[in-house]
Amino acid sequence: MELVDYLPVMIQLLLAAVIAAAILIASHIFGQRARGNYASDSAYECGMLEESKPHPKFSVKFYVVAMLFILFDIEMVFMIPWVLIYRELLSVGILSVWPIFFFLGVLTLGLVYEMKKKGLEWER
Amino acid sequence: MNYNGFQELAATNQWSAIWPELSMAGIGLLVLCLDLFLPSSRKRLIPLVAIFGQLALLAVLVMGCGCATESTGPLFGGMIESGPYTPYMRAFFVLSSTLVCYLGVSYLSRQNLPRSEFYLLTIFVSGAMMLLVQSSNFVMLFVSLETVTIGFYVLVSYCRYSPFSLEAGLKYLILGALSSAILLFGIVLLYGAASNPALAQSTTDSMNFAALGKFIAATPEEPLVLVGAVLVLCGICFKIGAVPFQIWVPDVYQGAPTPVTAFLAVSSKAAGFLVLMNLVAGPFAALSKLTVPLLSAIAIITILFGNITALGQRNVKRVIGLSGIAHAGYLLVGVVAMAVGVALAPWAIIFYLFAYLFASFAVFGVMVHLAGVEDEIQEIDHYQKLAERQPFLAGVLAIGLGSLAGIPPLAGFIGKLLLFIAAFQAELYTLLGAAIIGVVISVYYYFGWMREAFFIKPALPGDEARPSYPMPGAVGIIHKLTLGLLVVITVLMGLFQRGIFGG
Amino acid sequence: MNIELNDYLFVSGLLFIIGFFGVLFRRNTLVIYMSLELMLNAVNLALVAFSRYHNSMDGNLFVFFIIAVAAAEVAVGLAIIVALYRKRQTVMVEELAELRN
Repeated sequence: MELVDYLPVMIQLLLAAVIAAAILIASHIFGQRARGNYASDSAYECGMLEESKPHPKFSVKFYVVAMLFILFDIEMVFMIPWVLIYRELLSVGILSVWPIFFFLGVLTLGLVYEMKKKGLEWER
Repeated sequence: MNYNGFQELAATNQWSAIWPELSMAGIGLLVLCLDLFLPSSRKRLIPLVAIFGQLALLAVLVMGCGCATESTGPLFGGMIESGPYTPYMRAFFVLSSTLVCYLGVSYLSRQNLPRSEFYLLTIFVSGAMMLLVQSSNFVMLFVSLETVTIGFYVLVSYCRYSPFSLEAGLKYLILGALSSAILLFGIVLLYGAASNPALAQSTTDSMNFAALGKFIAATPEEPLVLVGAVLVLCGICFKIGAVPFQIWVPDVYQGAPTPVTAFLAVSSKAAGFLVLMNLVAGPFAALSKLTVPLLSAIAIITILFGNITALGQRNVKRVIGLSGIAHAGYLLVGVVAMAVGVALAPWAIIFYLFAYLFASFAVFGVMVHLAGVEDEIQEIDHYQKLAERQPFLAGVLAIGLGSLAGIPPLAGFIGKLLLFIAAFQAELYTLLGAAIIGVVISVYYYFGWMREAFFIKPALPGDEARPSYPMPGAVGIIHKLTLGLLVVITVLMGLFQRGIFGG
Repeated sequence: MNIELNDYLFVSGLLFIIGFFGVLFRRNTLVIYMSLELMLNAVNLALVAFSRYHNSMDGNLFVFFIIAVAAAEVAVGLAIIVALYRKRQTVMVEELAELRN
């Protein structure tokens, strides 16, 4: 492959960089100005000085849902090749439908398990 | 397009040939459904379903072991091929999984943890192991290996309120993932070499063991092949805990819940060895100039390291872990003998694995009964005067440890003897010497443990200051029966080994 | 300039080695975990390159499985790291060493 063939990739990378930079610059220009100083940034503006850095708040809710989403999302990788070819396989009499239904069934069971164990409830 | 090739491949999809694996998956899914849909008052049924389901499967498998099974040839387009050891290993994994579930019942009754997931994961992991030892394609090997490994990540850190268990899980996770990546890179190099059209004998099915074996036999000097084979062997050595890849073993064995430690020690190690045997006798058969010295060196260091580091340990789970490294070393001697071409070697390995299973579960059964709520801290001191307090448990412990050490009338002795005969036939005298030195050292620490249980030490002045350990309750009748059965089998396997594998 | 198989393999080997040393020398568990993923992706790159240049589909197919397995591994791994973080308030390896003789 010639290096010229990679031009689209190059353009895409440039585009991504330009858009990211544009958003940052725009928010810097048009955003609200806040003159930061130590007092207004601290946890208690008037009061005791903090002894050490507080532990950052750690929200697990989003993380759990995102993780579960990724798992189901990735499983779809197995569906794409199957979708592309199942008609041809059927026309020559190869049973490729039941295995994939079984696979989907197991996935569905996993989803039911998640819901029963309250893995998808945002407010807990 | 031409689909004839697909039709030929589809014709080898014989689902009936892997019915034991499918039944394991079925029992697992049944446990999952029961957990979801049973009211919580009936959840006691779940362990019963898990254990008795597997016992039924085991009974069918053992009856099937008697009749000679024909090798079915490659199934599922060359993904799976059952060998002569397959029926025994299926029974092995189902038996081990049943015993782990059984130990899990008494372990989980002391912990505030979710119950059914333990049985579920154990069953799925065992099913994956049964597929792993039959896989004849690197894709199948990797997928089933990762099913096993990811299941173990969860099982090792199952006790999620204990920082020890979580830490062990993290260590196992990082080192396990590292070894998987190394194994994968080795597979890729082999694939890249074997699919290269410029090389002689290049193959279009280069993930398949048989095709790869043919390719390697034609070009054994290809550097990509050599590097790839070494990386694959390193990845597998990680899983069996051979030196220099043993760093995870003591910590993970100590931190994991005791039933999971037993599962790791018995099933995971056995699966690793069966894979190693398949590789050494299959695709890497032409590389014996490389595999024999490499595995011999690993075996010698493994035996000596495991036994010497186990000497100074006071924590019994670490003792079991480190002596497990030594056992991996003895088994590696068998693998080397197999690579040299001794016909006895694979059967010696399988006999040894069975002897190890019965003896280990006898010892772990005692450990689970004696452990308190925090089972990471089981010191040898806990076993003081066990013979006075609970003579039955002390007897089980003595026979289990004796078999692990290789004391003559017991199964472990015959297992070691068979391995040593195989090594002798292969003329591996250095390995034999190292293994015998290892056995002598191991007698010392196994007997140190037993001495604690049987002989009362004179009371030292500082003894009262020591914390006294909670007296465990009486042994239930089922626990007595199970442990008794394990001990009886250990003794019988030592006395009458002729009939077991048909002579 | 042509991009050949060896160039892909060079990049893949480089990524693998960076990942390997990352696992060995970094102290933050999350960074170690990212290094592990880097190693897996190095493997994927090599597989796809071999597959493309040797006209064999096996490599592409294997990549699907590796991606799916890696996702499962990440899910389990992050769950363990999060549970450990909530218990111990740290992700640094030196501070996570309670299992000793």
